[in-house]
Amino acid sequence: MLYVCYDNGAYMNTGIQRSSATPYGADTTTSPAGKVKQGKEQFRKDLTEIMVAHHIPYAAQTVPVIPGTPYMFDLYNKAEKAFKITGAKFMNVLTPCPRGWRCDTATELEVVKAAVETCFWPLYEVENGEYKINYIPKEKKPITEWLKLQGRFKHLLKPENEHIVQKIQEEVDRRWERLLFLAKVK
Amino acid sequence: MAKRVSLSGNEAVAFGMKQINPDVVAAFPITPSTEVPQYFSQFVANGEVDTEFVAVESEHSAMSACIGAAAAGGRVMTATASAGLALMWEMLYVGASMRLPMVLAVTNRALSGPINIHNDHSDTMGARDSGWIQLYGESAQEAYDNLIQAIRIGEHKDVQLPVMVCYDGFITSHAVENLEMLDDEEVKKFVGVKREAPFALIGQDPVSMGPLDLPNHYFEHKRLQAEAMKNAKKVILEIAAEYEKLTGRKYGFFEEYKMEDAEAAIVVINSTAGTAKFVVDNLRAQGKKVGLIKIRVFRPFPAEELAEALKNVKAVAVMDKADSFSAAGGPLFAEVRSAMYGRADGKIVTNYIYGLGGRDVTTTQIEKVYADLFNAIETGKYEVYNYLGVRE
Amino acid sequence: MPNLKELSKKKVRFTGGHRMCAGCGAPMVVNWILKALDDDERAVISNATGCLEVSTCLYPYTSWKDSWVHTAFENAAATCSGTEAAFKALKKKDLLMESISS
Repeated sequence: MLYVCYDNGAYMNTGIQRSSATPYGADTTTSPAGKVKQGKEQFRKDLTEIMVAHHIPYAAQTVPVIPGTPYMFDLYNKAEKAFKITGAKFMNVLTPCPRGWRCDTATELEVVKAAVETCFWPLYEVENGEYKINYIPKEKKPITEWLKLQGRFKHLLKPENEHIVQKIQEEVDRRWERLLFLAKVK
Repeated sequence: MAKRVSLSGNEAVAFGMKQINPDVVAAFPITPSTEVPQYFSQFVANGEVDTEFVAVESEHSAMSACIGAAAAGGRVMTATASAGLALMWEMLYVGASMRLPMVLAVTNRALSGPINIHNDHSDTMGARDSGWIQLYGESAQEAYDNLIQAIRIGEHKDVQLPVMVCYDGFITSHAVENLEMLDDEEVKKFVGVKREAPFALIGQDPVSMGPLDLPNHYFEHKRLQAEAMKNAKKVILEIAAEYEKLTGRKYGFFEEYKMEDAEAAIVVINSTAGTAKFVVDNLRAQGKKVGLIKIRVFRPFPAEELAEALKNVKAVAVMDKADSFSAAGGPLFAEVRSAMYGRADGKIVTNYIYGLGGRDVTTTQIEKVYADLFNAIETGKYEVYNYLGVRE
Repeated sequence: MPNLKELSKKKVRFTGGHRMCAGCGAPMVVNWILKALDDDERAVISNATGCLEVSTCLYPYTSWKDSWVHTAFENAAATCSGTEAAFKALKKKDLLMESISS
């Protein structure tokens, strides 16, 4: 069985409520940004790592097919590999929801690209416990590149919320460094 | 040839499952049902069945896996009790509305809270409107017989519904009784090899199952589901007749015990019927015209037949081993009195809630119920709603 | 590196006409995942309650050319585990006619 999670970062079907997958600071209908709160107050649950912890034969994180990128076929390759492995397999696919992310449908794949280039959403796979990062950006972009393209993070870019952006950056860095370590890149 | 054996109710059910040899059993342990999946997984480990055993992590998952397996076209069984059944709740309705035959053995146990592991019927009585057929059995023998018949009832082309086979936790599930088991070959022949699955996920053609069903179609689907439950009445009797030919044991919607000329009767479910029959015998020896009806089929509810069976009595006490907190009596009482309305009018009908959380019900208490009924007949004075054997 | 031209010839398993929002990423993901199957393979897809489920199988229509099942919100995998178990059992009893990817 291959389990595919298309992670759009909230309960979109019922009208954009926060979930454990919602990123820190996101403005959703149940974690709204207001006068005293600035969106979701917890970091995103790392579902891919949770599945890795089950010690299943294959767990992978990827994005939709984005033409012109070095990782254009990452999704297809991982699905093809997963189907050929016997046992429980898992794929986590960052999937744009223009309504929930409040982004432009025409350029939504640019947003996904920003998730990869900022290392908010690293492309990697874990096969029988062995980590492999499938794409390492030459130059890791600051997290604001991902935040600024989406209406759900708009409030975070106000000067008074700079400390929140910094906090998000630190968490993204921490998780990326950990992944580099696990993949024996560092 | 049938053989005489001494088994607990859970053993009888597990051995019955072994003889049925289903395609999939997905189950999760819960007292007092645990032994069923435990014995069964030993059969799997020994290669005595061809079944795939799915060891899930909750009863919700157990029922979900059963639904997935039944939707695939497999023959599916599971077992649970009490909170386990409660955790299956959402999926009970889904399974029934998808018209998937499955057999669920329930060892009746009180629902929390407070937590209590002993017998009453609050678990399955709560699930009475989930769309499942419900069969109840007084003994290990009846649990076994109901289990074998349940496969055929649920899978019948005019029914296609899941079936609960209910028997009392500990009292029946753990007590060892003498019973008669069919030969493996006889069971195999009786249940047949493969269930009739008109549509299946891994059948000849791909199918989509479990669609979004909006106001334009939903009602018709529910109406068809209701019709299937009506059809089950006929099918239950047909299968019972076939089973009687094989075993000599007769089953219907309910058992009538010394009802021919009874003036005072009680209506009861499961093992308490055994205690009550003893009381009936004693009172009959004293010349008192008493009788008993033990419900076997609660869903579909045999309303007309029950009213017919009660048409000559003067007074009826309905015994409920579950409270529905309606402030208007227990679930069995509500159904029995409703069944009598317009069919067997002018009777005294009372309700006794008893035995909650495994509280023993004694012969003295049941004698009191009959005494109350005779007193009501003589004086015309009585309480409709009563609690039996509780400190107040 | 897969060949885009070759991939475009692969069997379409998820059809248009569904009611997902314009720009939603989910149908793209579904299409590409299913492309990774061989054309002669059959899949069973278990779908949790959500946008994809409510928008792709409204009675009496379906967008799915493979067998598809929806039961509830939180149990797509548990449902599928039962289907997988039934597949294994039926295979053991030699009651299957066609190959299905496990």
